[in-house]
Amino acid sequence: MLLEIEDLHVYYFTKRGVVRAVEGVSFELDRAEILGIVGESGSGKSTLGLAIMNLVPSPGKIVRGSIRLDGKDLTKMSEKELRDIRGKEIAMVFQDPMTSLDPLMRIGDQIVETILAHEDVSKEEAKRRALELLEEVGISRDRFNDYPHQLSGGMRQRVMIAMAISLNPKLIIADEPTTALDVIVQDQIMELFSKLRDEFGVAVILISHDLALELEVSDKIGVMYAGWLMELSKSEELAKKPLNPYARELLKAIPNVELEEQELVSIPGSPPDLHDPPKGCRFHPRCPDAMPICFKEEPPTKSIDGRLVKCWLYGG
Amino acid sequence: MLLKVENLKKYFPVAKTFIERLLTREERYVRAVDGISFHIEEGEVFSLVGESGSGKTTTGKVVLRLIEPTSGRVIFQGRDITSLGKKELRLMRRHMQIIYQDPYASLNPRMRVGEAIMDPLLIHKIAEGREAKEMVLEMLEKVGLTPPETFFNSYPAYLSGGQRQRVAIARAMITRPKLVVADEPVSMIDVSLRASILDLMMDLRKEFGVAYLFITHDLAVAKYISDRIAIMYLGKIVELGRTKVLFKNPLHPYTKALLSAIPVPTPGKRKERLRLKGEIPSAIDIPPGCRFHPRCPMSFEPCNKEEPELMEVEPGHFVACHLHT
Repeated sequence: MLLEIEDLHVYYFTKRGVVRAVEGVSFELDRAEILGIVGESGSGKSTLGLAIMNLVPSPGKIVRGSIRLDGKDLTKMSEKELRDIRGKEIAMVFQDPMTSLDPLMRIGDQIVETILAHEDVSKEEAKRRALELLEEVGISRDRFNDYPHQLSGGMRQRVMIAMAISLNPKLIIADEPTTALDVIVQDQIMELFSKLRDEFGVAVILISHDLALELEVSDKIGVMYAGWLMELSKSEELAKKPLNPYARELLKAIPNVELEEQELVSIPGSPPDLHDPPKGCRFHPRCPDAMPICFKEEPPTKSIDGRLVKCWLYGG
Repeated sequence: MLLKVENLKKYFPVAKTFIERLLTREERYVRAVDGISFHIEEGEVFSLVGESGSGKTTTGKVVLRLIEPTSGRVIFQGRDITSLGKKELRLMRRHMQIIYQDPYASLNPRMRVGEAIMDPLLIHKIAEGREAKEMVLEMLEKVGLTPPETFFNSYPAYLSGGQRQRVAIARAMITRPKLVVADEPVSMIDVSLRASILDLMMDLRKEFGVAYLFITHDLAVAKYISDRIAIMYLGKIVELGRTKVLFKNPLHPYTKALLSAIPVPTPGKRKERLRLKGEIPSAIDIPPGCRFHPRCPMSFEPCNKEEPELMEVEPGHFVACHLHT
């Protein structure tokens, strides 16, 4: 198994109190798999992505749990060991490539620098690889000397992906990589992730608010709500028969253009403030299936036919 | 017919650098909206769909004359609003309102919700005092912010994104407008709440007979609510028709590509795709002939020379493409 996350807890220690942004999350990810992490604002999905790289910003902290990459626990590593892992074994792609690219540096040189910083190769060799990488992500070689502002949003995101794969990582974490892009460009970028999985065996964690997108491209999906992993299932299983009521209701809330007629349903209420989450199950105030126990006690996470579900409907 | 837009254009001049100013007298323009025509019936939901840079938002603003058109006419209830004076325009505004994308930016944080919704009533001298307050409370109830007295006195900071958008809708509806321009009203709302906002807008249409010019990048949302849809590309309408027809029988290659790129929540069923190369070019350097031809997989002989016109290919279904002339 490439990545094993067990009982992960990430808290933010703010002036207003403790925000329990990620609580008790466990899952596994294999090589050549795309795992979708889907959730609304405040679900903890971005914090989870940062935590896997041990990059949670202050005042956030991993307070419990383990993150094992090829068996090595990232939460127990020194900052120096982590620096070697980041980029080389795990790479990250963010929503806004402009914040991660240096505006004053040619894009080709940025890729070259990334390679030189981590590997003992000549400058010529690094440049040769940078040119190959640009081609790999669908940018013509003659763009090597362009500055980021000369590229469109979609091309910038491709450069970010080229940098992410420049050191042949085993895992790419992409946090809303196409949210700022148009749907046609989004489709092109998703195609690129699929190619990285199929041709190079890269594992991808695709974090998004867009369940339709996740269902289309991911092999399996984790549904997060208010810091909890409510369900983890193969995409087909989730689409066919969601186990957790939140996942089920979310599926009813997304439009499907292939349906002739469709009635959309929204989930009443809104996601909770994690300074003061509801008692019992965090979803119970919005849950159509809530039972008395849901108001009082946190549901356990159950494993059912290889799927994970956190809900009292499946017993204690 | 409630609204008729005729050959509307909006060009923005491009700022020149010092050297460019020395070298050339030629002005360059961003042709954001480049000659579009459409109409909206009373109580109709008409969507403008396009990617960023297609000109859809500019169109919405020009229709309300929040920005001045470069040329063309906007006829609202029989009057050309592009020729109205300031005072007449102000009178007209109560019949044409707008809802913005970002409910966090569109409300004054220092104004109580009730005051914000009451404001248009006072500005247009529709009501004041007790009567105005009664109208606001009633409207709060209609948009689902109950108990209305509580919401009347709260500040936007204490509301969720979905609740804020309901306030923005109440504010737009309080003057009983005939037309509301809704610019991406759900794109910043959590997925689980989007349907409730869209359904609210549809309920208000039923009750007040308001028409919407709905601006969105999201074809799935447009499909859910629209009577008719126009697809925009680089400042032009490339296809226009009834929602069902457009989805069943899209004719323009761009519409087809857009439709096939929408993610469908059905795993393992990646559709046949009409793939496009590259991205929408800048509206400063619009390609000659059909502006879509450099990206079009079906491009043929006339496409790089002649610009296709929007033609009616079947009743109510218009397309601008040489394949269909």
